[in-house]
Amino acid sequence: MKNLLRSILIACLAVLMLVMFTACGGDDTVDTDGASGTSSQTEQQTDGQTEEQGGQTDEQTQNDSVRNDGISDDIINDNF
Amino acid sequence: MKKKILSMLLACLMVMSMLAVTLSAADSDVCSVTKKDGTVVGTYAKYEDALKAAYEAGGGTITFVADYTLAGATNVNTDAATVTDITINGGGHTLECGSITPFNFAANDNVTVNDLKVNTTGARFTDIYAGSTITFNKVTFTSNAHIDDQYGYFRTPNTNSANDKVNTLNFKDCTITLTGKGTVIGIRNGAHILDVNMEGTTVIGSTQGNMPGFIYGGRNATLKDTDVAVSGRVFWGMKGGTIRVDGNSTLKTTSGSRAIFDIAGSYNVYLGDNTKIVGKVLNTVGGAAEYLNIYATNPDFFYTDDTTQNTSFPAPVMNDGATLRVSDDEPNYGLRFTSTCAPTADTETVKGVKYGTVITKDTYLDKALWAEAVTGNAKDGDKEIFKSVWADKGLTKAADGTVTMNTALANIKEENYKSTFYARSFAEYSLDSLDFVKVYVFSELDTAKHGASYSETVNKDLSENVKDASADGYTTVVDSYVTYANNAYAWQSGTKYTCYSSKQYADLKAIATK
Repeated sequence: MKNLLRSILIACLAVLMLVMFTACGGDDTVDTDGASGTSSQTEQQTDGQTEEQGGQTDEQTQNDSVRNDGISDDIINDNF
Repeated sequence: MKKKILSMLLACLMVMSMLAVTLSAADSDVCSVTKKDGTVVGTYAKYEDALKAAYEAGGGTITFVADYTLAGATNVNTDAATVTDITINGGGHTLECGSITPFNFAANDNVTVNDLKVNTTGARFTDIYAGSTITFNKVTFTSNAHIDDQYGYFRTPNTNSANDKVNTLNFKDCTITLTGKGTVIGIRNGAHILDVNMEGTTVIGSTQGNMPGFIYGGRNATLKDTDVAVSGRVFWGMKGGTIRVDGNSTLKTTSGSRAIFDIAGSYNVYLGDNTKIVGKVLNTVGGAAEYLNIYATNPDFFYTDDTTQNTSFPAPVMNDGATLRVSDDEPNYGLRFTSTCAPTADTETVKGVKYGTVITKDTYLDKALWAEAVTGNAKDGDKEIFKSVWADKGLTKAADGTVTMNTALANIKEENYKSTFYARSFAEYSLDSLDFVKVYVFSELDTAKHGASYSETVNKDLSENVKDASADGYTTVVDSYVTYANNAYAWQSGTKYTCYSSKQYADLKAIATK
């Protein structure tokens, strides 16, 4: 009986240790994965923003005029 | 019987009273003298005695109460060390001088002569020693004396000891008429400096023979609203300095003169907006000239005779107002003044043509230092108030030789957005082989047409560069625009299309609405 109880206790301890180990290892894995995931999100966000900005720039370039009168001047700076 | 005696007595009384008046006039004094503090010194029958008394009193005022004919020398003071202030009030009387020089002053005297008629027949008007300042107000000079030397009717200084003291001759509202022979104003010793200032004065010279006509050896002269017409070897025999002629002034050489300027030194000549030179400008037989710069802010300054304008070089012409500079190159924005200049037909004489433009601000316009700006000397204290730039990148030349100049005032300070700026372009050229001579001819200045403000120019430009609907080159959508009505620009809300980028429009709107 004692042996049985001892075996169950050891088994429980082993399971507990396994669970704890698993839990600890899982945290590490989660952290790592989480960090990677964040990076991915940032990349996605950056990419998204870049694409979005690129879209706006393209849109402005297509729609905005720019004036340059094309005349050369001799310059006097205002120090009056 | 009683009546007979009474009538004879009355007749005798009348004769005696007339005799008394006659005697009184004969004995009357010519001048009174008062000290500087107003104390009466005395009255004198001779001007030369009054002058001596004024000197002995340490200076004062001599007042003429009658016409007078000089009887003795006037060099009554030889104390060169003492500064003496003398005022001579002529009261419209006449001083007949014959062959005696009337104004013969020692060094360091300050003398003012007012409202007097001075005639000589064989003498100069002045002999003035170094360091003196002599001012003539409303004095009429006439002389038929044959001076026959270059030291002049107004000789200064009469000494051979060289020093650096300035001698100054001022004439205001005077008339000088000479029918004899000799230079009008001369400096006897070349080591001295003579400043001559004339305002509202007329000088009519006679035939001066082989002598300089107007001034010999003068260093600096300022003439305003003054006409000078003389003959002689040259008009102005110079030794270096500055000549400034302004107001309604005319310098004229009569027949027989070689030229206006005959130089042996370095001279800057500034001719104002309403000045005119009649005759040949330069004597090509001149001495060891270093340079002669003639700055003419009146483009029509030079006449070959009374009515024929010399057109050897056309003046630049400014466009009205200014336009907005908008460029990819920095500075991106500015106030652009544009001018054109036709080519000269006188390609034989005119050499080395260069162009430039001067800009100033409304608050400095009255200073009129356009010509000085060319050499960077248009200053108020240390501040440059007229600024010049040579035409280079902004210059284009058409096939017919016409030059267009674009000059922009850039980096305009916010405090100057609403100031009015004015511009004048100029052309610089040399005369034939006389490479020491440079003439600067400026465009006309019409303040009603040639000024522009940055704020107004930007508003005008923006008001003209929006459309109600998108069009070719007008695709930038803006939510406000400016309109012009009742002599004012007003900004409105509403959708418009402009040829500017959003950034340009925002930049310019900030200027326009400041």
